[in-house]
Amino acid sequence: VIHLYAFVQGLRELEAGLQARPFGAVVAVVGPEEPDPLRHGLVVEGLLDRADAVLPVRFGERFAGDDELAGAVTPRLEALERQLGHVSGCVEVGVRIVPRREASESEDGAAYMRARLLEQVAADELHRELATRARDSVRTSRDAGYLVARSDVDGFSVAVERLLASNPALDVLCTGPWAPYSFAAAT
Amino acid sequence: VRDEVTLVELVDRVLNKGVVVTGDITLSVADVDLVYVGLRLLLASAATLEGEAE
Repeated sequence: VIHLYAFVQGLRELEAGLQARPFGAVVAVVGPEEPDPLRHGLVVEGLLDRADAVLPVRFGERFAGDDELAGAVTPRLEALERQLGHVSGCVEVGVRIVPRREASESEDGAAYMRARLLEQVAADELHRELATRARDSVRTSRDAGYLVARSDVDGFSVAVERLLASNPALDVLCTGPWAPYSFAAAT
Repeated sequence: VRDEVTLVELVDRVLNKGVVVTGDITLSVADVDLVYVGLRLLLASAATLEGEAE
């Protein structure tokens, strides 16, 4: 069995137990064992320091052998190469809006709606500002992911803190830097 | 607390996001991956146990 962890470019080294399978300019990082989801995640995060571009693969992509792997990867090489170019040199920073307890436990419906509205307006503003600093961004209602150049991660964190200081309506959980899962689309 | 958040976040990411190069990745019911459902149940039961212990 071959388990697929990620596609990479500019791979410098590989931790023991993993193998590189090149498909032209795209390299698939695979392993002979089936890991649990946590192990899969740790391997992918570990690649961030070892390659220029890391495109994470969702957990559960397994193949009977090299032929099956090639059959799945080869038709998608163009899309994979494009996505690798997009995330090259970047990591993902996650920003999650944490709902306020007092608002959700309030029995006053109008007060609850007011708090939700304030949160929404503040979250929109935060996202607008952060999106201008990032190469790319994705957002669902309370979760946002930002594709940030490695060299700008510290600057980005400072920007988040500065914006939060001027936004008392928001509680935010900032996570990362992660491998850019949110910018790795199904092909 | 911070490490626990990171761990859950990490597992959540590998199960829900990332490139897919095969048609079917896991068995799913109504587009919800069973692996993920299983994980949520596990987390829920751990939280319940914790609540009962207190």
